[in-house]
Amino acid sequence: MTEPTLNLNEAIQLVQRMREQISRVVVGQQQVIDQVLIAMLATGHVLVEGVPGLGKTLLVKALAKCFQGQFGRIQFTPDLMPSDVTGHALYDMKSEQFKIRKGPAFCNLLLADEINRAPAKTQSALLEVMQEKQITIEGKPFPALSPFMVLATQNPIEQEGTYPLPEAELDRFMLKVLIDYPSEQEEQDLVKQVTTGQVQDTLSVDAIESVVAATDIPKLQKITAQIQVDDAVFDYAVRIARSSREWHSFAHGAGPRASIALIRAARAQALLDGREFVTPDDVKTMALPVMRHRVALTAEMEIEGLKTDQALQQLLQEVEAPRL
Amino acid sequence: MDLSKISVQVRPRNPYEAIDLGFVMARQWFIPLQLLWLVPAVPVMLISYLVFMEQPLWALLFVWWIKPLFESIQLRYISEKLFDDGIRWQHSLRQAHKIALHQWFTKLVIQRLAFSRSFNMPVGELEQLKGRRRSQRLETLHRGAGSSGLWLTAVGSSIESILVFGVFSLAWLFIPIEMDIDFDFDMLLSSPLLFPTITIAGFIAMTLVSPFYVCGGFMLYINRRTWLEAWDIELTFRQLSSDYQGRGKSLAAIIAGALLFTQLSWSPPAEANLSREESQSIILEILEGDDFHEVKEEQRWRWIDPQEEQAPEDEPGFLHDLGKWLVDKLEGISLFEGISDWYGVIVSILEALLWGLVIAVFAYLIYRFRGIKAPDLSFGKEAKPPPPSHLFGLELNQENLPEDVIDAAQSLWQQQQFRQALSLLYRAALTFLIHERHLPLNSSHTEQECMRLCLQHEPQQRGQFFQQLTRHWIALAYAHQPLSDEEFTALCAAWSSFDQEELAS
Repeated sequence: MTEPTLNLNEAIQLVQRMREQISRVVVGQQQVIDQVLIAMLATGHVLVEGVPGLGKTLLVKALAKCFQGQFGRIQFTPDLMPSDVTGHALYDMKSEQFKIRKGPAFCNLLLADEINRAPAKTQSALLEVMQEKQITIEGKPFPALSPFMVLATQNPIEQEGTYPLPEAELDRFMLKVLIDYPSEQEEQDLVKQVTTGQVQDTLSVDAIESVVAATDIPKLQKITAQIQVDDAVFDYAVRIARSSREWHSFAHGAGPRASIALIRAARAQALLDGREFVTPDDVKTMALPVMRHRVALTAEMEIEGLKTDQALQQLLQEVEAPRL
Repeated sequence: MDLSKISVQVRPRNPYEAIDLGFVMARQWFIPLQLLWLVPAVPVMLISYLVFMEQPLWALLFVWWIKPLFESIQLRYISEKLFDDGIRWQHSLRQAHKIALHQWFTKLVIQRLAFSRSFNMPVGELEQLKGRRRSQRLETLHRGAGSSGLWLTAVGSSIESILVFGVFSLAWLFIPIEMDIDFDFDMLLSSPLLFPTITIAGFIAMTLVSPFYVCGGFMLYINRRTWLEAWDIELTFRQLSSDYQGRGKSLAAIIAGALLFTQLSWSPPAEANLSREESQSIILEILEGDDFHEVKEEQRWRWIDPQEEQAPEDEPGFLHDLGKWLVDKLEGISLFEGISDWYGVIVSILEALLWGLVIAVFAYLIYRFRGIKAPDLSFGKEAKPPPPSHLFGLELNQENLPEDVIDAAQSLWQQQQFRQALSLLYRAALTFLIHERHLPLNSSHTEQECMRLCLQHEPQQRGQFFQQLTRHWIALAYAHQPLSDEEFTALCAAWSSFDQEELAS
């Protein structure tokens, strides 16, 4: 048992302040904000799925602003090349040398917009930087910035001319966050905020104060990784992931990365909640975003109109909560 | 009209074959027929479109209504073209106004909505009959091919509507997918583009269908006349006559000449100069002759409705069959000689036996399944699963709990077994909620979910106590943070208020 340290309390406060700052501009997407923060604290990457115009770019910008991070954005298109993501070597006539021109992936927060529009070759250029935190240009490895996080977006409605992400790459994303339309009240607030005294159509992130330094983020991540987890909770997370492999609705279940991601995300969720220990509820809350892109429904279930989230809910209802 | 110059092979055809031939003609002369339609119709369409600018559908309706005028020009052209290949469409076009306005009232009012319009049209246009004679003539023609003319109109108008939808769909296909247009029906109806589009599409459809419609009807008419006036025989004789004339065979020439005195024209067959009575008696004479009393035997398939074949009397047929079979069998045995007199009685006995069997089967089924209850489809309290006996690995049976929970918990606490003490309290609380308060908890519920359910369904006081207990329990179980002595004492003190059933009221 550990006494809550000063550092931990500070961390909780810092995270709360970040959350408040982002909520000031990103209206009505509290759950999405929380999940993105969780992914950042747990050093994971996020796949955001939602129709256009729900503030995905704004969210990333706001997050970058609140920790003074660098923000990069790539719009994925069918003709995007891997070097457009990572960077490339250029021959400089004056110095008669090759110069490395670093691509947009050299940043803290990378927004990969509509990632499924690019072919697999370009998508996999992201794999290295996501997993190894390094970028190889002309055979020379460069470390990615720290913290580094990818937020990839996908549009659920237009599937023509897209390249669905391969399972291996999907598995690299810690969370898949679904972003939905705001409620009526939230949308009213949003319209007021955007149209009052503003010329542009988008919300500005100027209102956000930088509350954390970029160098603090790795510290926060470290504290997150030290949040206490009881064996029973480990057991619960593993049982959830394992039972998805035998669950009748799924053609294939989640791999061990899912159990790892569940515990990491649950730790971050506990920190966000201001706790120094993880409860089974944290695991259960994070089960949907962690698992929904790692399982595939069987054809019969798809024909019956079952959604992945519904099948996961059924699974969670069957898995026993921890035994003590 | 010179039958020998006809450009199709004359033979009696089945009406649909005739329509088919008409379509071949329409394909053959498609361009001139289209031009004959378009040259007069496009200006009319444009003018009416300008007149009915606000309501373009009226323009379409107007052009549709005067369609027979344009079609009569096409009809005149093909009727001439059929017998004289040298005719040019410009020739018909020059006379277009005369042709179109000829009998315009009949075309636009009397015959406009006739079901077999294209089939009727040649009677007015080519034979130039009017009034009663026209209807008599139509009656004669319709006797063999009226329904085909009707179907031609029905199919023609269906194809027109399909084409209208086709033009729509074509326009639809040109909308890029990215636009993601999701029309609803009301929006579509109120769209300003809808009616002009329908008008244009309707006009295109009429233009495309009209040559086929006119030619199909015309060939039906020609075919009907071939049947009635034996054009094919006539043509053969002509052929023979010219062949033999060439060879100087006088006998055949005489026969052929004798047959050739009928002058073919668009007009109906020439009437003989006989009085009504005379002709009537001749007709009767012919009708009484052997030609009209020939007995012919034909074999055809006919559908016989089994229900129409009534079973004798009111009894089911199979019973009679069975009775008959039984009587036939028994007749052979000497003992039952004369049993056929009792046929009716045997059938009644058989019926009674069968009914008895049915009742016996029902009785057996009721007896066999008497113990089985119908499945409970209600969603009442009974349908709920039984409360779990284990939750989070804790035994939740009431029997496993000590008589005095507080006493037992306090003694465990004093023995420094903090975890067991709190576990006992938590377990007792859950047991109480499940068994006494029937809270719908199941094994997948986490502690906080149990707490939320309790707060939702239970009185505030009990909810608050359970919330506090859960908080301590979570801290102890997952964070390994023991609670202080005071906190435990307070929990024990509050237990008495939690445990009471009457709080629920």
